[in-house]
Amino acid sequence: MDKATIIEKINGFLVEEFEVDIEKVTPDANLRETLELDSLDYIDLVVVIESNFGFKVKPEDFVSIVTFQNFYDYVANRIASEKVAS
Amino acid sequence: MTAIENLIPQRAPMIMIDDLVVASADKAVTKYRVKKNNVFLTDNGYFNESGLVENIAQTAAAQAGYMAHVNGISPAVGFIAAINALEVYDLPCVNSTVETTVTVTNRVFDVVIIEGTVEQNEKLLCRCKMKIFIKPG
Repeated sequence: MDKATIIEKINGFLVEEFEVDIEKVTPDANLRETLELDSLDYIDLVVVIESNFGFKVKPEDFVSIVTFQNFYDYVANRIASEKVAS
Repeated sequence: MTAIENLIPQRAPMIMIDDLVVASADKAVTKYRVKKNNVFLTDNGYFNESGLVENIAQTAAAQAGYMAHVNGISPAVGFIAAINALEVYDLPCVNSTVETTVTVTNRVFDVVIIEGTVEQNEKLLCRCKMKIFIKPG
């Protein structure tokens, strides 16, 4: 799965799950503020990540995720590392 | 202490399940006959929406309590963190029996996500999703 496909897939489920306007989803936008995430919404975010990409997320993984670009990079890196591990 | 009180933390008059009839790591089914002195009755004798939600939550608690018992550990304390997609189609009346099914759909960090349904004679009365925060031991 290439990066563009990953980004398209992420944006698709973010729009569907969090009912966010796709025009607000830009690489430099703040993920939490744009999606209006509270602590329980992060649980939903983890569920959609795990169900769409098949890897487990740890709470500390979110520490370095601020922007959508951070989020895309995180998912892409995890997919790549899972591929290497298998 | 009744058998069900060995599995859930609630005590009378807040007990909203009678029997755990199916239990596994990810599923539980309970039965409950609506008592005439139930605290969640409407004025005209129907088990109200809050009672149905509590019934689902206690079914989840019974599942967790049963699995803790099977595994020889103390049951964790759980709190309802969120209720989503609640749909109530009908209310059961006094003396009727409902069957409640809870399925664990996800476990994320310290939160268990479940889907619950309440049925009466195979007719769906209520369903919802819940996030239950499990207090770390």
